[in-house]
Amino acid sequence: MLFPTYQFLVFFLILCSAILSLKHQVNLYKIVLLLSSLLFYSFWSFDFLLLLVLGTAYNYIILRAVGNGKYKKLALISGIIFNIANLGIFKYCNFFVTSLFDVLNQLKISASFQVLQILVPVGVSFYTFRMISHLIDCYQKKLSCPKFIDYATYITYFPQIASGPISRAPEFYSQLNSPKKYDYKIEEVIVLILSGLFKKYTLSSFLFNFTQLPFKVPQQYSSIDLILATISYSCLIYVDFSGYSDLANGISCLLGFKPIVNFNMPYQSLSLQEFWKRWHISLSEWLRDYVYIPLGGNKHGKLRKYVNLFCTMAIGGFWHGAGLNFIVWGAIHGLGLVVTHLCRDIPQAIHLKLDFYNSRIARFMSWLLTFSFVTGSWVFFGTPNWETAVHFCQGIVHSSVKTFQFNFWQLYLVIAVIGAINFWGDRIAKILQIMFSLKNIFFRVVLVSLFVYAILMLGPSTVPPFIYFNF
Amino acid sequence: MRDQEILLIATSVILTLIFTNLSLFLKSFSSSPFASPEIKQAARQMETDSFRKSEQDFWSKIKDIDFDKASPKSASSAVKTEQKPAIQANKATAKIAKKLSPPKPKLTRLYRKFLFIGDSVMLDLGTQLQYTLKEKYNITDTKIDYKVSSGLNRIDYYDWYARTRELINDYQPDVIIVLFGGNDTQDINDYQGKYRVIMTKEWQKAYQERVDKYAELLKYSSVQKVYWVGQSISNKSSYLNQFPVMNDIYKKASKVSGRIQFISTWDTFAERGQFTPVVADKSGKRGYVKVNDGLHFTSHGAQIISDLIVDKMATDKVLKVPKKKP
Repeated sequence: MLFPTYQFLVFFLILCSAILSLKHQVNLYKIVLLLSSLLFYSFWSFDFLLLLVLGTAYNYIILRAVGNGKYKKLALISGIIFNIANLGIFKYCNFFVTSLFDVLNQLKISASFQVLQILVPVGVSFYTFRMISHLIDCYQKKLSCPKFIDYATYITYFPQIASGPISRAPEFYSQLNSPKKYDYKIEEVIVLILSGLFKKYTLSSFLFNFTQLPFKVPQQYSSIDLILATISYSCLIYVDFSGYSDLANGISCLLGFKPIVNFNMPYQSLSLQEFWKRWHISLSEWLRDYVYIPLGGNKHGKLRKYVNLFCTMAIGGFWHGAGLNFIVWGAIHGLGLVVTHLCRDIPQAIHLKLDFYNSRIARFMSWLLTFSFVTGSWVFFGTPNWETAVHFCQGIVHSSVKTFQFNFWQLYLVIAVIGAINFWGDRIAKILQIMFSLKNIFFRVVLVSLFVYAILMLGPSTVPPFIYFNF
Repeated sequence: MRDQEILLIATSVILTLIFTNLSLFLKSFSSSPFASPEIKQAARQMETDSFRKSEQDFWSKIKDIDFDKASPKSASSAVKTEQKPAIQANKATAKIAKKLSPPKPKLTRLYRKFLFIGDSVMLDLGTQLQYTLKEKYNITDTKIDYKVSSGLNRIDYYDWYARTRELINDYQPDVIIVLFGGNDTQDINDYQGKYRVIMTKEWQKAYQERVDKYAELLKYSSVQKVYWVGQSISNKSSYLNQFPVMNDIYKKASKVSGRIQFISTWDTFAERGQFTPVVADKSGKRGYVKVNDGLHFTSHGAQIISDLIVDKMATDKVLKVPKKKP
């Protein structure tokens, strides 16, 4: 079930009517929330639901062993192996089999065995990450073993199960078990939901059509079209994913949970380091806490720090998708981060002061370089395979096609709007919140209706699925 | 109090939106599982509003661009031309022919322009076909025209008859490759406006009428050869029941003209009548052929189907390997 659908609207209105009055009855509230999450997930597939329930139950047993048993470490390792194996089978099996066939084909070894084609359960990457981090937190005694119902509600929490944000268990439990739920403002929720709808329904759906063909057959487009397609994809993935996060946060507010900032105007970053502090923040922090720091972080010398950074980003890339292009995308960012750190570490080591870093031109150049780097790297993310990514890059440098096909004012306008959201999103949100903080409910309804109507009318007739649903 | 207020706002906004644009609501709601057959029937009979029409025109404009317009190769290839109407008038198309723009000069050289028409599945297949035709046969004058979520069932959503006529007139293809069906596995409104549940006899009759009308359109056009690609076997049980019936409908419709040929792909991904996810291509390379939805091809699967079509065209002498320059 997708968020911007009538199916979800009916589901949510019924749920809201039932659950909102139960907010202060903690135990009953948990049961209803858990059942709602399971019902929500069952709309995709009962098989996936069964897998989720079994995985949750098994992880809880391991969690008990990690929290109380004699063989804590063994339990932790078995739990992590189980979750990684689960992810490996359902998300990466097809990739490994394809890679195996590629190797056999290269070696000219005939392979006649048959394999299964495995479906990827919705949100498997997101809930697996939550399960792993919970095990580690319990092992490190940052968290005590929760009640089963708390744990199951956390893992299956429906606004975040499909595409995050990846919430942390301690914050979730404290809000779940408190009779005082998050004290949201009506205008805050309205702006979050409208922002999510506008980003997804209007902007992302529009840009989708400009990125589909160039990212599949770059050979048919001129260099300027490919550059525009790359910028479009860069904008598309931002509005698509941050739109989902806005919707998830808006719904979470209503259910009594504090919104998790997952995107903080990332394309205004002046360095790659800053970009990763603003982009998919919940994942960046997860990777920092559960991959980078366990690998040693920056505590074992500079060289080890660079290696750890690179490995963390490459793992992050592979988490996004089962394909060589995703690993390359992660590795490019890993390399970029290493270079960024080197640029800061080397002058520090030789006591060199670079005052021009703060000048306007230097800031602009830093922004341009960061944006170009991030945008260029999306080519590897958005193309279906490595070969197409290479064709795309070649096409940007030199293309046999000279016709400029994407010269539409609508496209420039949409890119400009996304640019404005990216640079002044916080101010725009504040202005909108003031607008929607009208005391008169009639005017509020009229104003919100106008906005929703405009969003629906400006959106194309076919709304593509969220990009991050694939991950 | 605040929760009640937000529920009140949400409900009021929804009701306001429903009453301000009932047709938009009905059209959206009819695609949800909550809609009753009566609502679905009513929604489909509603005309698409002018805003949606202009939106569809906008996307068609983007797809309309001739990729190789500026390519020096195609510009320099001087060929003889003759005057021939793009779509010949007959009883069924007489009305439409009047609306058509004046026919453009037609290439006498056979089979140079290839047009691939269909839904998103055709995008996967068409890109592979384009690549193969360019690499093997040095044919660059190709065009993919696809529309996501479209088909011959929901003409109220996307009018493939009008779009195909427009394409034939503007692009003047010699060969058309058609692939529909992925989005047609849903209930249908027949020409009398009656709602028919999928796979019933009435549904089959109504869908056959839709497909026949499309075949008639192609029959009376200037296109010299049409390949109608059938649906291939799938791992999804619903498709396993529906696609054979639909393939029979396409096959039957193809018989309307000798220029239209049905290409069966059903057995291409089958082993002993069962779907097999990993198949070897001509070179013996093995890989997955369909993505997880059981409908769209992987690039490997698209290549296998593309090879099948290209081989068929070569057998029919639609394609000839270009002579190498000494």
